[in-house]
Amino acid sequence: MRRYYQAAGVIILAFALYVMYESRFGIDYRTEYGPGPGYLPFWCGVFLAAFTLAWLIQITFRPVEGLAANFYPDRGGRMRILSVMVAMILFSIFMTILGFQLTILPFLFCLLLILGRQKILPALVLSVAVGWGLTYIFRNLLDVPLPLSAFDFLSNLGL
Amino acid sequence: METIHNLIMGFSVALSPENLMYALLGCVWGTMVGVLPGIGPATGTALLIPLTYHLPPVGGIIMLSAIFYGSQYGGTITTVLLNVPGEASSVITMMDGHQMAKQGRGGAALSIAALGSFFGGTLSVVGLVLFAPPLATLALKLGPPEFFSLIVLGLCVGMGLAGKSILKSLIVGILGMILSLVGLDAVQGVPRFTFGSSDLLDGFEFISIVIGLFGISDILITLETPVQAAVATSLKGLIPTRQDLKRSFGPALRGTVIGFFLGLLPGMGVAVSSFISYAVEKRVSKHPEKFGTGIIEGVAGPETANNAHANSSMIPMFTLGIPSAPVMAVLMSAFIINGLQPGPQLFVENPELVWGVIASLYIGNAILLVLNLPLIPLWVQVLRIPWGILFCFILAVMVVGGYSSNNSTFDVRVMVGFGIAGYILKKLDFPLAPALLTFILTPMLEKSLFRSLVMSQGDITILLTRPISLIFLILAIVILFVFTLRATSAVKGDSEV
Repeated sequence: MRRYYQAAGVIILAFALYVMYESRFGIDYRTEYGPGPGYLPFWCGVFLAAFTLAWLIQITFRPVEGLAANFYPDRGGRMRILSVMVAMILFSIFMTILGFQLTILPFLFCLLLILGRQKILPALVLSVAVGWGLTYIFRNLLDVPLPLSAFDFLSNLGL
Repeated sequence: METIHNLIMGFSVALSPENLMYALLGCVWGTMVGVLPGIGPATGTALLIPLTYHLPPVGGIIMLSAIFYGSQYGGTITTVLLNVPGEASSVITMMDGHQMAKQGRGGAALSIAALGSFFGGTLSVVGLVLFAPPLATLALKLGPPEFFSLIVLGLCVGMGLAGKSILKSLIVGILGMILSLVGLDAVQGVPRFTFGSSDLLDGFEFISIVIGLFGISDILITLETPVQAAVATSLKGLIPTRQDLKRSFGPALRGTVIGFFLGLLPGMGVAVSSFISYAVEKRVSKHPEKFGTGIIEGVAGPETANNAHANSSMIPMFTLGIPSAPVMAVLMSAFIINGLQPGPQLFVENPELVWGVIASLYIGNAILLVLNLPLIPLWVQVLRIPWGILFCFILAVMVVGGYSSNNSTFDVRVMVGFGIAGYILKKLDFPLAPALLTFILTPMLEKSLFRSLVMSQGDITILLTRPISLIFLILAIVILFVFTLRATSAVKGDSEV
């Protein structure tokens, strides 16, 4: 467990140092009216660095509780988590290219297969129904302009 | 007298047909949020914020407030019938609530929980009516230095109470502050930490952060273990006996007091009120050995405490503009999105809104009582849907919710990123609530600091030379010191064991 904490601590410390540097040299620290836009970020960086350093010292020199029994999910758990992460990342990328309707369909279909353990046909029916329902509610009832496809021939079809 | 007059005005606002409908919608959605796994009140509220763009501000805020207290009751249903807490605040109700269900008294447990929630919620609103106006009047007298120190004090209490390790809370809190500084500087309009991206000029969207940090990460944590439909215990008669009612009165009263006062403290989770109420009931009971075997006092106390807590936690937000919990931060962002700044000025500038929302709390609690008991069979049916399927739909709604707050696909990417970051931070046992509290308060903090330093021509000692500001800062330091001492002694105790 200590290694993970230390790795997290080092990353946060590096981030704090970047914030300090950027707010001191990249943005005005002071202006003629008083504190500049870099004033508060600089001090946030200083405090973040100080607290992270104190935490790093604490976890390095004090006994740290052992690895929690469920720290690592089992293979099935890892697969489920990874599939959700990948599906969401792909969704956020393809949403602008294919449009909302054409992206939500495979998103739901894959998740229903993996998480919902549905067979192909029910998964397909459910994903089409829910995808269409969400589009209808948000686009027509709530006036949310859900993204259309970047391809003209698809966006002309309202997809 | 003025308070009564304002309250009557509030009721005239809250009792309008459309506002009643918004309260009803909020209660139903809130109960649903409480019932569904992997979606907490903060995420549930954040998901509906985009909807409020199309509503009048009073209606929107009434609906969002109803989600919070509705979710407290929804969590009880899964706890009692499935032995799975829908919300953290319902965990302790499992001890006796589910035991009662196994004995065929689940209906009575749910009825007492509903009555207790109504009792605690309503009394807590009375407290809100009594305390909020004088507190707001007092807060109006604070200048920028005092306000800065007050926010610092609120943040210190919030971070101190948020987790087991004060250092981890402080680290997460400051990370939240830095995140809120991304974008155009509110005072001078200079871009900060934008890396030249126009998407970042407006900063990170609060709703995306809430859904990511709380919603997506919760689902990822839940998915670590196989998800399957829970089996509900059968539900019989909903009417509690006269004996049940008599035995529940004392715990409900004590639960209200506990929930009300703990709800005022920033960072104090609702679950703490429930746990303390349960512990108190066990302590004062003549038969403490019966707790955990299906005793009505073990349901009445905690369930009353969590709703009293939910309502009283609105006091710091209404009067001082300081959210006491993540869901309050979400609610506060809804105010800001609607062009309203929570705080003492709200009572002066928008009395109809403030008193309308306060009156709606009374009405909402009554709606919950009337609505929930007949709807229990419906919620049980919802829970029969396999969780794997529910999660797919919840994730789809989250994605659309993240997008629709700003109609931006960039916000969806931000939400996914924060979801993964939140999952990692939760695995490393970092509390996430401080990040939301600081994220929402930092713009106010920065403005107060700027105004203070302009007042003093750049002299930071203005924060120490004004007595009220100095008192707030001393209190903040004392609180941090006490929490550090408590954490240190806990570590020592652990290592000695």
